[in-house]
Amino acid sequence: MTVRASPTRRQVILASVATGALLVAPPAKAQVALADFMALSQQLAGPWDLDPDIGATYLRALTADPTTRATLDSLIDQGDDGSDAIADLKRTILKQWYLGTYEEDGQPAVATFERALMWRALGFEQPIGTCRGLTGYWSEPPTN
Amino acid sequence: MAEPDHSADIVIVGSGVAGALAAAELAERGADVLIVEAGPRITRDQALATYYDNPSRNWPSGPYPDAPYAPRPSYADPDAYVIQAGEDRFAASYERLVGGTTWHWEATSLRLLPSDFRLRSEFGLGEDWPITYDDLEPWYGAAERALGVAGDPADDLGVTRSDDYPMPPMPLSYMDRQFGTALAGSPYVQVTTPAARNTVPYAGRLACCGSNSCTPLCPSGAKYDALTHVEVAERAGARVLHDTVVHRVAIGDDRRVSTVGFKRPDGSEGTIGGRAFVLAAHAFETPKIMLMSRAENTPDGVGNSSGLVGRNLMDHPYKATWAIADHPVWPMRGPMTITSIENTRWGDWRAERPAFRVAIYNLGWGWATGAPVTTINGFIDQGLEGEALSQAIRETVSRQVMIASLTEQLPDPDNRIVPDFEQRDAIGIPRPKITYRFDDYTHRGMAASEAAHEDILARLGTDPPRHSNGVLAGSHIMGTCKMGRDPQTAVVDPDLRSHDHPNLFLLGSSVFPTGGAANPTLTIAALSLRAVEPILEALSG
Ligand SMILES: Cc1cc2nc3c(=O)[nH]c(=O)nc-3n(C[C@H](O)[C@H](O)[C@H](O)COP(=O)(O)OP(=O)(O)OC[C@H]3O[C@@H](n4cnc5c(N)ncnc54)[C@H](O)[C@@H]3O)c2cc1C
Repeated sequence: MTVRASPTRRQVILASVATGALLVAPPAKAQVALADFMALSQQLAGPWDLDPDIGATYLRALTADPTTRATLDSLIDQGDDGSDAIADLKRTILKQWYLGTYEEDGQPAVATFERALMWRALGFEQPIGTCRGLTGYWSEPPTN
Repeated sequence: MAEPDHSADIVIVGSGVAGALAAAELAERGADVLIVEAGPRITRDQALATYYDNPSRNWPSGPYPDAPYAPRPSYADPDAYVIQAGEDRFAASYERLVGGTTWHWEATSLRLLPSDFRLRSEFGLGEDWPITYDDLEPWYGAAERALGVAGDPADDLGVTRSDDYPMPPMPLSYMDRQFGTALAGSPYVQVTTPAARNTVPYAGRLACCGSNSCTPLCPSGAKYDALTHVEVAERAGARVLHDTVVHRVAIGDDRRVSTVGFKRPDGSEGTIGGRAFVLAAHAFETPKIMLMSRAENTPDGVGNSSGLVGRNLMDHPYKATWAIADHPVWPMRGPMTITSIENTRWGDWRAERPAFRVAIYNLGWGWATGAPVTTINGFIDQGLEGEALSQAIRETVSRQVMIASLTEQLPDPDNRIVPDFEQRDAIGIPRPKITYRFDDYTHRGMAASEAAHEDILARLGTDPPRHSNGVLAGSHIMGTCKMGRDPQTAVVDPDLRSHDHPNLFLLGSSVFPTGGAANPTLTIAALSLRAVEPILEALSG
C-alpha cells in the first residue's frame, strides 16, 4: 500500500502493522531538537523555568519558515555570529516566551496566557485578567 | 394590519443597564415585559475564553463577538461602522450584546453635582435640566443599591446623601497610598471613587479579586454588569429576544406607538406589538432608530417634532498623561482604578472652562501605550536578554503611572448623529453618520486638565510626563434626545416620555441635557428607576 504524503504517527503505525514492515522515516534534514531549542531559550530568558510543551509550539512556529529554520540551525550549531538575522531571531524567541504569543501564517496566536514570562517578571502570581487574590491584596507591594 | 410576531405589555429595546434595570423592576412589579436585543447572548465563560485566547485583541471589545448584524464602533477602528462626517472624530466605543456596554465598563459610579443640573442658571452655559439633584437624590440611592456601589461616606464628592453606600469602600492600592501621601495638603483632594465593584459579597456576586481587567472584562462578576438585571428580569418572568435588531417604530392614528419592526441576522423582518414601548439602545442607536422611522405620519422620524432627535451629541473629552515615578508604585494590582480627584468638578470658574475629574489609574501605562506588552517589546528590541531583561521590565513597569481626565462638554445642536440612508450595514440598516466638532471650551478643558496632571505628577515625583495628543474620547455617549418640559425644545419630558407619543419612553444618557464631568451610568440607572412608575401608568393610558 502507499502511505499518504504526510502520515500522522498513528497512520504510520497502522500502515506498518498492516504490511508487517517497519517504515523508515524519510531521510530529510533532522528536526531541530527541542532540547537544543530549550537550551537556547534558557540562555536567552535567564532566570525562569521554561516549559518544553510551550517551547515545542514556538519551535514548530519558527521552523515552519525555511529561512528562519536555517537561521535557527546556524544559531544552535555555530552560535551567535553577530548577524542581523540572528539578532532578529533571538528577539523573536524572547518575545514568544515573554508574551506567550507566536505567529502562525502571519497571524498572532497565543501559546499560553497564564504562563507567559511577563507575569513572572512583573512579580505576579497570576496574570492580569484572572482572579489574583483576596480583596485588598493590592494594598502592599508584591513580596516576590 | 398583520398580527405582530411577538407582543408584550411593555417592550424594551436594548438590554444594557438602562433597559435591563427598568425591565427587572417592571417585571418584579408584575408587568409583562419583553426585552429586545440586537446582539447575541454569551456567558461570562465564553467571553473569558475569547479574551484569554487573544488578550490584546481590539481593546476593549476583544472578548465580545463581532456580530455582523449588530456592528459597533471600536477605538481600533472608529470608522468601520460609524461614518465620520465632521471636523473632529467621535471615536467612542460600545458593545452590542445581551447586557450591553457595562460588560466592558470601568464601573465608576458617581452622582452628578447639584450645579450640573443648573449649568445655565449658575454659569450661563448649556442648559438646565428640568429636574434637580434633589428630585433625583432618592433614585441615586436606589441605583447604588441596585448596581452595588462601594464608596467612602467620609469623602467629599460635592453632594449630600440621604443614605449610606451599600458596601464599604474599596481598599486602596499601594500606588493610591503613594499618591495620597504626595497630594496631602495640595489643592487636589484624593477620594475613593465610588464604583459598582463588590468589596464584599453582594447580591449573589463575589467580592473583587483584583484581576485589574475591569475593562475589558471582569472574570469573577464582582464588577456589576447589566446581565445581572437581565437575569433578575427573567426570573420575574420577563422574556428576552436576542439577535433581534429593531430598526423602525410605527405610530398609529392615535399618535401612540403600535409596533416596532426588527430584522434578524439573516435579514428577515418581523414586528412586535405592545402597550408601552421603551427605547434603551444607547445614545447612538436610540436616535438612529427614531430617525429611521420615517413614515407618512412621521415624515421626520418618530418623536421628532422638535427636530432635536440626534442633536446635542456629547461625550466627556478625555486627556491622559503618563510618566515614570521616581519610586516603585507597583501598579496593575487590584481594580483598574480606585481613587480620583473630584474637587476639580466644582468651582466658580466653570463659566470659563469645563469641570473635570482626574482618575488615578492602576494600570501602569496600560492602554495609553499598550503596556506592559509594548514596554517588554521595547526592551527586547534594545537587545536586552536574560537577567538584565527581566530586571529592566520589573524596574520600569513597577514605576509606570497614568492619570486621565474626563472633561465636561457643552451641548451643541450641530454635533449630531443621523442615519446614513446611502450607506448600510450587513443587514441593510443605515449606518450612523456623525457630525462633530470640539469647541474652545473643550480645548480649554484639555489645557486645564493637562496642567493639573503635570502638577499632580510633579508632587508624586516622576520624569517629564507624556500627554495624549489632542482630544481623546471618553466614550460616554450623551445628548441626542434631550429631556425638557417644552415640546418645542426637547424630545422627552421629565418622566422620559416622548413629547409626541404618550406610550414611548427613552432610557439612557441620550436624554441628558448636559453631561457634567461624572461618568454617566449611575445617573442613567437612577433615571431608569425613576421612569418605572410613569411607564406603568402609560399601560392604563
Ligand atoms: C471603555 C468604557 C468604559 C466605561 N466606563 C464607565 C464607567 O466607569 N462609569 C460609567 O458611568 N460609565 C462608563 N462607561 C459608559 C457606560 O458603559 C454606558 O454609560 C452604559 O453602558 C450605557 O448603558 P445603556 O444601557 O444606555 O447602553 P448599552 O449598555 O450600550 O446597552 C444598549 C443595548 O442596546 C442594544 N441595541 C442597540 N441597538 C439596538 C437595536 N437597534 N435593536 C435592539 N437592541 C439594540 C445594544 O446591543 C446594547 O445591548 C464606559 C464606556 C466604555 C466604552
